[in-house]
Amino acid sequence: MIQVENISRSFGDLKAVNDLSFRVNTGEIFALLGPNGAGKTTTIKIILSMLKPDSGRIRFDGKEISSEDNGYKSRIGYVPESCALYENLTGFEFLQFIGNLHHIPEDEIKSKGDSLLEALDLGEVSNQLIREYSKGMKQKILIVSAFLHDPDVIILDEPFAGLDANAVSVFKEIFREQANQGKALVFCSHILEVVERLVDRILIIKEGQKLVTGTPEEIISKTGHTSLDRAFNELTGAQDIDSKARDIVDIIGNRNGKNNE
Amino acid sequence: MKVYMQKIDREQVKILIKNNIRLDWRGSTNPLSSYQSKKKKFPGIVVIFIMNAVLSVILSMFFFKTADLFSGLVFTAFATMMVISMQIMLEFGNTLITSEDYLIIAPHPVSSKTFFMSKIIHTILYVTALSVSISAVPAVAAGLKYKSIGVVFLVFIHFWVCNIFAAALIMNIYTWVLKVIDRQRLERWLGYMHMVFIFSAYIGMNIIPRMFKHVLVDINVEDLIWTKLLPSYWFGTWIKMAIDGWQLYHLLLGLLGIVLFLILGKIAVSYLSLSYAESLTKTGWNKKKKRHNKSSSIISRIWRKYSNEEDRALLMLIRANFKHDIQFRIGVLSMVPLVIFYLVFSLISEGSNVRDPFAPVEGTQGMTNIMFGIACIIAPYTLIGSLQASKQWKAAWVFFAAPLNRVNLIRAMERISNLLVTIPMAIFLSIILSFLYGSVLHAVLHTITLIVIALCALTLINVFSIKLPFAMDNTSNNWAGSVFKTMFVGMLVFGIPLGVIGTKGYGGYLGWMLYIIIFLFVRWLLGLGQIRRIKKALAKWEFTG
Repeated sequence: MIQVENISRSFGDLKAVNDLSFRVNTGEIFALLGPNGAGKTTTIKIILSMLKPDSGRIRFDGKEISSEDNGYKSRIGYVPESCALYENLTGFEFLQFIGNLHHIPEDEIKSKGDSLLEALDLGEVSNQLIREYSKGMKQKILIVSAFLHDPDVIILDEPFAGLDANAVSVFKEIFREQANQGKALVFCSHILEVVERLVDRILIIKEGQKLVTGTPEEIISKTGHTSLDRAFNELTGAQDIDSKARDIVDIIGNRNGKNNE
Repeated sequence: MKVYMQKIDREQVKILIKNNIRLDWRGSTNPLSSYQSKKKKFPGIVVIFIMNAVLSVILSMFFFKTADLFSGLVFTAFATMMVISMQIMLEFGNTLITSEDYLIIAPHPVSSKTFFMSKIIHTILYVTALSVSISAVPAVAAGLKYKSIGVVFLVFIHFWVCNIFAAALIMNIYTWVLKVIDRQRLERWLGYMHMVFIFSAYIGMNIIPRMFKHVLVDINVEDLIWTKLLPSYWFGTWIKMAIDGWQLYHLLLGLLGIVLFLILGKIAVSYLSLSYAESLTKTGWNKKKKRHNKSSSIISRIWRKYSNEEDRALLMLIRANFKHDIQFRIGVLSMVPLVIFYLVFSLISEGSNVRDPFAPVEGTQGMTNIMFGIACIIAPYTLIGSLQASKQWKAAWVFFAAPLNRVNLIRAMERISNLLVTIPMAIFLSIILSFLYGSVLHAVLHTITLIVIALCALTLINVFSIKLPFAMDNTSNNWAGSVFKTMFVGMLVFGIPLGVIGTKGYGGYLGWMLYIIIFLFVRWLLGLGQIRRIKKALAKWEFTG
């Protein structure tokens, strides 16, 4: 459904994405993983035409997309990493605003918005300003707004940030069900336990370049570890985590340059 | 397909405008905000309308002072263009520049043209409202003078067209500059421009009314060549031709106005794109060299010895904000022209003699003396005002979570502003006054007296304005409010002692010392009151960020 072909993007001297290629198929949950600053969000923004690539191209359903042609965006839902919301709108007004931009009929926005907010325990606060919401409530609004127009592709950048365990379980089920219905989901997260159990395929990138791609099982077995987080540590070069942690604990225990011991 | 997608979607335009106005109403960065009204009884836009109405009364005088309707139109409309341009930039900047829009709207199927059509209409709505508020009185005045209801409408329309032209020009300059230079540089550039405009507006408000007496009597715009360069002249020629018959150069200049208007519109549409909004979201990626700690200087060793943790923490924040927050930097720097303005205004009397602020006063000279006092407190108070608000106000949680002394922290704002501004100001004043009076002793005595009174005034202002540093959201009309407060307290605190000393004199060195001791005692009492009020306020405070 989405094909990313040899995209590169630099910011000054920093090469954020470097000749990256991958594809996301219908009916799959695809995880884009990498350490902080690896280029995940830049890649997503290029897919959404929010950033222009220096080179390379993106195909959506086989057609090349450009920043001038934004019709394909009506088939994409996006949950950004930053909590980008108009905080002086109420939860319902924000959904109404997004629904209007997608030309969803007013009565449909009303019934769908109300039902979704109710289902996610936001019914009682739907008329409160978003600035009064907790972080988890804001995140729920973001996720709901991405699904409101029933998109074919859903791009989720750290969707579980700030959500409680129950909400995470609910959304995991929703994401799986959406994939079963033939939707494509692109998923960025640092919670690798969830990624391991939820996604079909993984691409790990570092410094904007592809390191490895495959199913979670393939990646784990390639490194000889038993879990995805250990495999990820090794692949991204974060070795000897235990001794690093010990060093940091020692630094914390040091005051005025002297060790408390 | 591409062409279709780039069409302006009317439905989306309507939704975006509705959303913008709703956000203006509920936000804190636009004078329309009702958020502010909870504290201040009415939205900031009402203050702007009142200010425009007052200005419009002054402007309406042009129609009675100038030779004909056309001359009145050209001058008044040009004045309103300047005022509206400044108001758009200073008060309604969010209609042009809002970085959050891009992050929220860009992932959705909204074309660049649709997005910016909404921005343009949003701006035009405000320009229209501002234009009406400033043109109503002059339009009626012109109607009365020329005894025609038609003239009322013509003046209205002429003002509106000129103001829209000014707004379009500003929008184009903004977008053009953004295309040429990166966002950080643009912000810096706009910030300095902002300061120049504030200063110009401030000077203008004080100087222009004085000029009215001299410059406008029976002026005919046709006698002045430079008026042909004014957009208000170009658009006014159509009215001139309708009334007095056509002339070739009027027709040509009228057409020039229309052509330039169309070109501005065309450039705006071709320039404005979502990539413009995108550039607003970019952060600087240029790697900067790491600064190495310099070895401690004597000054920094003395500072560490005599300051407390709160002073040092605040100074560190001030340095970081001054370096990286353009709004803060501009707020701080804006005190430089203001101090110069007040000093010049109070020292030079009727353009010739240098005044002594403690000399006996006659008539309106008392006010000029008080201006001298205001010059002494405006700089430290501007700094304190800038320290209270910040874009990163939510980071103030650290003041609630850390085991610091918050009374000290609040008082540190005054201490540091005295250290950074009041003391250098005292040295500067001593030098200036020594030079002007030709007596160092005379200058130093005056300076010490003025500065000690200024310290009282500052503490008094701070007794009634208790806020944690960098812990308040920036609001749009803080600046005007702060200046008003400073003027009011300045008049109150400086008026009495300057009057007494001016009438009675110092009474020798002993008398002078007595005055100083009294002022220091008053300041000490005010300090006690301040601590009490801070403790009371702290007991109620909660962090809501």
